[in-house]
Amino acid sequence: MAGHSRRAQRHAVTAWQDRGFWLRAAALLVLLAGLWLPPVVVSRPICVVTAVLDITLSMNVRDQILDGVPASRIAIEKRAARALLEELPCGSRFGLAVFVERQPFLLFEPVETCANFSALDQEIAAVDWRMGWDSESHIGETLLASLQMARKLGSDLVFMTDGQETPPVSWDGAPDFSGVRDSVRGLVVGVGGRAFSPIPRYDTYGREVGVYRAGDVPSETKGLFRGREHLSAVDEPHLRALAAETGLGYRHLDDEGDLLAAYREHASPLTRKDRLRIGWVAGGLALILTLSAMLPLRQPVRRAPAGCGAARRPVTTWNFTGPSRKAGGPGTVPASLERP
Amino acid sequence: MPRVDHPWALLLLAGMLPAMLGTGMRRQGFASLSTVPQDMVSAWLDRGLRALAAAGVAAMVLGVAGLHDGPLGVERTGLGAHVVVALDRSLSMDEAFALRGEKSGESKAQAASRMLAAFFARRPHDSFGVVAFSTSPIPAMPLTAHRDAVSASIRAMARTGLANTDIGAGVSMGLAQFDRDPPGAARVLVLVSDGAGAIPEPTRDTIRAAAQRSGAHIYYLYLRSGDDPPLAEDADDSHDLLRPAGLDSFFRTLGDSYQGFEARDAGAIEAATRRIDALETRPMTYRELLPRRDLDGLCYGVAALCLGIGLLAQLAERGIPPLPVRQ
Repeated sequence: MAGHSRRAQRHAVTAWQDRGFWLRAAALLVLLAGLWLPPVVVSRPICVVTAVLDITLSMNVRDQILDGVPASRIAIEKRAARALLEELPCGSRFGLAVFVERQPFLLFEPVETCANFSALDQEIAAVDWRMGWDSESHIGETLLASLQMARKLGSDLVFMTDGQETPPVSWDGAPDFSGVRDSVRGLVVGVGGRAFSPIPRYDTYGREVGVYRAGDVPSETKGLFRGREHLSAVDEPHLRALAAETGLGYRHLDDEGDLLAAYREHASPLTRKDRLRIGWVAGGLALILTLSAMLPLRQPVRRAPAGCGAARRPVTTWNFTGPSRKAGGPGTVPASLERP
Repeated sequence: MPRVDHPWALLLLAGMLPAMLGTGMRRQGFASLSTVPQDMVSAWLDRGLRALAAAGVAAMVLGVAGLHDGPLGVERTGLGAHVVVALDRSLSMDEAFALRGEKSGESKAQAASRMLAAFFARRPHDSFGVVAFSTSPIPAMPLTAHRDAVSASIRAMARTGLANTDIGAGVSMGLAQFDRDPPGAARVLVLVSDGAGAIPEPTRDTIRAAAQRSGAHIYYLYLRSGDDPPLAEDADDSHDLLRPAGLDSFFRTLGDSYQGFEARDAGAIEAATRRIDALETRPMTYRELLPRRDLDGLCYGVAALCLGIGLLAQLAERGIPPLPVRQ
């Protein structure tokens, strides 16, 4: 018995010398480390933004193309707002307002985009010129009110409009932006074609009844009369001037590139702490180690010390050969095999 | 039902096969199997170890694939309703509740927004929608169970108001919100206004039809301040729709479930919303979204356990030899 033990030890690969043993042990350590190490926390950029959409009558002009068919400026700006909502990273907050006359009407305050996506998306889809409560449109004054609103909400501003002032802006010029200049970050977004187009006209019941003609649209006596008030095109010089005056960026929706990227250039740098999921790194490493411990698939067969030839079908036996073990107990090698 | 993030990673489950074939145990050759006695304990231990190794591999693969539970919509039954709030946002709502010269800091719009937020918070299973109206009706939030979005919209209603009031347009827009609402839930329209107004006959017809179609319970919360006419008036005036009493009697024709409330201060709004709260307690089925629960940590724990037992078995089989020391 004792002789066999010594011989077995000489022949056997001990656990310390076995590659597979160490690989498995390493896999176990990696797994435990992955479970016990604290999670990695990273900062992700997020945005808090309120989009203000122009729903004045000139936004009904169908000088845009959406999916190959003519579309109104409102349809295009809604699509842009929706794209923005979709692309904002999770954790960002998005608010929505519409305006006519001088005042933005806030539909909802900025709220987390991913968890509430379907509700916010449906609300963007519901935006319609029929929400409008007035037929005038004072872009400068609305921008001022929007900036004050955004500052109060602690949010950036994306202000979408065609820049058409109805009645035309007076010689008094733009309102005084000195109180809000540079206090809010964001973008003025120009919507609409650069060529003049007629403005659709609707009756009391919201049915379309032709277009506005010269003389239908009032021109303020003090105003700069241009004779084209019944037509509409995006007023880019006006919008650029407003953007420069307020410290916002300017971009036209038709411009090359992504609206989100353009907005990001002018967005407040906000971040959110996020737990990085790295469990799969430890898990994957442990998996690779475990699988490689099984190679080669057919372990070399260690011949019995008896030297009486290899069995055709090797079996794993439980060889509890210790000094205290009785020979013939379960799993022991029969004594007859011990010596040649 | 647990799900995985990366189903393609489940292809790695093929790794269970080598784990079944080889346990890492020593293979020992014998001249003839007939010389080895049948040993059931050894045989089952062997199978157990192979299964354990395979389970360890499977657990790691599931962990890497991102095993998780939910997010899951669960159907539950509770007390709740689908509530649309139609809120007057005309300029007059910016005035303070003035009790005959008394001044309070809060405008009617702010008080209404605050009380509606409290009402909303008391009803965790409700779906809510928000409609604002002044000269035109403005759907501010569609009927939804996304509670943060509803809160954000109710908060937004505390801001400065707009222009005039078209109460008929507000009511019909509010009732129209139920058109796309699936049947089954109790429907409630809460109209909050500080006055009434003429509702033209065609709009009245629309409202009658929509009220019948939706079966919504209508509650009119009249914010009365100063010398405003009361909600309950003598029969003479009650057909004048320009007065709240006239509107009240028009709503009475829509159904027995209608109730009107007159609120002279924020406390009375609170009492009215609590009354509505108590009235609208019918059971309904609602979907609750259980948050996602990651199970990858559990997977790695199970894998570690399997690996640990396997290692112990390996050590037990071979004994713990002394570390190789140079002699």
